[in-house]
Amino acid sequence: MSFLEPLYLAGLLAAAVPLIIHLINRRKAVHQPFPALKLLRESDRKEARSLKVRQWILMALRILAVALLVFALAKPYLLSDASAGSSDRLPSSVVFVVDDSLSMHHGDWWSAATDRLGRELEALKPWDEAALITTARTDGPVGRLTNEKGKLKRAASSLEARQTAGSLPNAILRAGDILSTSELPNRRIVVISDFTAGGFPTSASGVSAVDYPVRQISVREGNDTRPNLAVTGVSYSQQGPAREGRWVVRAEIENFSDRPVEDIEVDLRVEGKVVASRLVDELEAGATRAVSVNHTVKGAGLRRGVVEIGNPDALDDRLDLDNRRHFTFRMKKNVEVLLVNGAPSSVAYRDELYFTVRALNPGQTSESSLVPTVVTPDGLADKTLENFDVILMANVARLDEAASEQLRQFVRDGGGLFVAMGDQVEADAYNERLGPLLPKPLRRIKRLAQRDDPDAPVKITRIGASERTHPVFRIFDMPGGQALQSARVYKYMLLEPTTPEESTVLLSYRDGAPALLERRVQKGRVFLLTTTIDRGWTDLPLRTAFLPMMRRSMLYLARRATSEGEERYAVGDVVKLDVTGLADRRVVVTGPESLRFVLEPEEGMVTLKPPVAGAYTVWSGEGSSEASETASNRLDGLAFSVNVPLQESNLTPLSEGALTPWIDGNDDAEEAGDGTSNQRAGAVERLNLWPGLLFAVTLALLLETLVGTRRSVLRRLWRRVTFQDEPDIEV
Amino acid sequence: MADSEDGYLDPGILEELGNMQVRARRLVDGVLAGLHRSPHHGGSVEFAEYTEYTPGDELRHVDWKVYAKTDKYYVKQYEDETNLRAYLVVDGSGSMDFQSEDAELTKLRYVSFLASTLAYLFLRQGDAVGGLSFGGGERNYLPASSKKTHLEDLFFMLDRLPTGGTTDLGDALRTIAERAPSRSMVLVFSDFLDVTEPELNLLRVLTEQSRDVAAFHVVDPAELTLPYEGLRIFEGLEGEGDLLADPDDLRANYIERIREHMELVETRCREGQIGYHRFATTQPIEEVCLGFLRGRQ
Repeated sequence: MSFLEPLYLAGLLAAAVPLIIHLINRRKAVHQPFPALKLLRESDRKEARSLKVRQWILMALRILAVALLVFALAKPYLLSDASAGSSDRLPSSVVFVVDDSLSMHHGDWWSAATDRLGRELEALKPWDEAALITTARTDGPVGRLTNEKGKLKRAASSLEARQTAGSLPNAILRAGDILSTSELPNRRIVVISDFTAGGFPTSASGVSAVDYPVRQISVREGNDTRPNLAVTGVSYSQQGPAREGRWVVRAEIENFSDRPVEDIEVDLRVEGKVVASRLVDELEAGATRAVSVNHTVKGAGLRRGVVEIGNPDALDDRLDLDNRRHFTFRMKKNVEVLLVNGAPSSVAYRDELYFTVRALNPGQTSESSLVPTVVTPDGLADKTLENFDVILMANVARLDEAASEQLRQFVRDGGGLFVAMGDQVEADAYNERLGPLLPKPLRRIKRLAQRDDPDAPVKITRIGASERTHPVFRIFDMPGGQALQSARVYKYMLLEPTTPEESTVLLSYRDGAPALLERRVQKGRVFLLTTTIDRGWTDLPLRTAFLPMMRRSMLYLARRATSEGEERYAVGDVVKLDVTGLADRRVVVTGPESLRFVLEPEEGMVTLKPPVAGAYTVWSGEGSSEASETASNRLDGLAFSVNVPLQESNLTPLSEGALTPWIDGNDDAEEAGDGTSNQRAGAVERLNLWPGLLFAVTLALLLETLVGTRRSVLRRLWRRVTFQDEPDIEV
Repeated sequence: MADSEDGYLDPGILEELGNMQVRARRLVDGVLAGLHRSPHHGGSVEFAEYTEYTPGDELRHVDWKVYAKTDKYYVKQYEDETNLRAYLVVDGSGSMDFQSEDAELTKLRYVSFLASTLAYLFLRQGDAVGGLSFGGGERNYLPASSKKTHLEDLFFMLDRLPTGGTTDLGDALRTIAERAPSRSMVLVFSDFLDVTEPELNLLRVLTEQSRDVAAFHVVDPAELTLPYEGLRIFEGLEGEGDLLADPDDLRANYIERIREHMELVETRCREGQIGYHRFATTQPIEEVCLGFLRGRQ
């Protein structure tokens, strides 16, 4: 019990006044000589005790009345979550706001919410009207006030918790709008929610509070501090050459509770099977830990994966939906290589790319994952670079600005670039246009010896040390790997000594000059070979090491499959798919829980709003409807995954007063209110006690009057009321 | 003189009158006016008997011849004298000294007026009147005499009745039984508040000994109704201590109790052939006298 005016309690001292009066009164009896004292005494035996008892009762009643009055002045009230105000008996308009956001899936919160809603609906009087809205929906289920109880109950029983985030403040404002249409005297909002901080706006600037009392009913069981873990992110990337199919899946696990959690099992599940697991020993309260899992996928095509917490029961994590994250990744079959020939020749072996093309695609009959396409520098503009994984420029003199920009963008987006030198290369043009890509700026060509120079064996240099740990050169460290070092080099391009960021030397000449350099430019990689890839400046193409080096370089440079830049969808988001050229009439999207959407493209686009988390597959529905979903018409490139919104994982209770800007914008109104119909804010409803106390004061005073009044007066009054005659006493 | 409407004297006015004789005379005038005829029947002067002398007897009635023979004083009694000897027994205990707001007189004053009126009447018709007052352990006895001057003695006694102390009606009645001859009249004036069964029996014994006994039961109106309000400390008038009580709590029981008591006294008197007269101190005294005299006719 609390008091609005606790200072008035000092008035309790006044309760001593009746006691003092009682003590004084005892001494104030009037002396009365009386002859028939003997007879009086005989009559008094029964009555003496009652006199004393009556005096004490009188005193108690007076003290009680004073104490009750003082208490009433101090305005006591109780905080109660039960609806027990006298205002409840007035016809009421009630808008029930039920939180159906993702966090309500926690444990049995949702069943608690529906139970509570059922009870509240039962408590409605026939003359009350009500509406029912939810936080995760922007309309309905009963968006207008109605007094049809059956309709409300049906809507309540069909409610289900959603997997989307909800906005409690917006729902309250909506409830306020609904209530403003009512003309009943008593209007209020009842919010049934878990009141979690997750997804709640941190700033409340510019919001206007609703003008109605808001009763808040929490479904939490006391101070629930059970841990909640969530997989908050998954990223994946292909490691090494695409052909190896090695993937690294990196997941982020966050601990949303306020205590550390130990022994978290993180599983990677691909196509329904657990393929890898990791154990996180301990995760601090509020901390996020990244967990990387390696996985090798054989074969090409679409793969659906899930990273999930494998032991939620052991961890006592009761919100299951955020314990997993879905993702979709595609295995590429081939690496497309675009070879730009700066010095083509009709004589095959003199062609700049003669050796390279054969190294990448050794024969018509043999299968290779590398698919070379050769163009001239002029033809480069006609090619869509995005379709290629690697571009190799061999002895290209210069590129115009447009092509240079295309190339720069290509690399930034993850493509690989291999630049080989040659006599035509214009160093200045390269530095100017491709400077941001080159591992080091070019200076000039250094000629060591002519081919026919007899002193050539002395003057020339050879390939020297290599970066042995680099994926490309790892195999040259193995037995028989020295073939690279046997290559002779007559000329090479000298480079400026500056070292741009992310630039490393992979291979050097024996004279110390760099031979092969790598630079990472955002998502892409660039190799710069300071000599030629034909026989112009070196005999490297003739060496046995050439073929594996080129192939490994192409695979290494090839665009990596990665989750970066992928669209990430949360439940409730609108997914737009571009099906131009893939399906004209019909698109079928299938998802978890046997969901099936049949969509008609409009201007080449289809849109849908996935209601649950999971992997979704897209099919071209051009064929007959029954046989439409076959492997042949599956659109792997459009497959997508949908996950639950992250913000709902934070189950921390809302801080006190967080809702105040929406439900209590006018403190004065509350102060001036009558205390019953205008109460707002607070986690519970305020139940005022002083009207009852004042009633009790009145009762106590009435009783005091009755007990204090002389019985003779009462008897006389009674006789008057009942029309009895006064009894005569005869002598 | 402001008389009350029915021609009786207001007790308050009576109190203001001068000495007892004036008051008694005024009262008797009223009584006689009410009777319309004199109760005087004339008397015989024939010798009736001798009685032993007691102080107060007239010396002229002493029979000296008998004295010469027997060496004892005997007084000659004549027929007219033996016609009626009345003894006024007046209770002067503490409880009689009570006067409520409604009453003009204390019970004691009231009965003394009443007794003096009756004494005057008796003497006026030649009857002998004696007196006995008691209260607080004190008893004053006056032998019966029909001399006119005896009235002074009676008035003196009634004017100076003892006030206070306990009631000892039993002792008084025993004294009367010893002193009053048979066929005499005994008038007992009391509030009978402390009267007990043995005392009521004594009254009956007096009747059985051929005496004409009448009980004058005086009551103050407050004793019947207990009209007080508010917390009171009731103090007994005969040293019974006091009682703190709210009259409202007691009234019903008390009224029932005092009614029972009065009925008991009345019943016992009626059973013993004793004339019983109950009256409140607010009643005119003449009315009480007339009631008594008419009862006797």
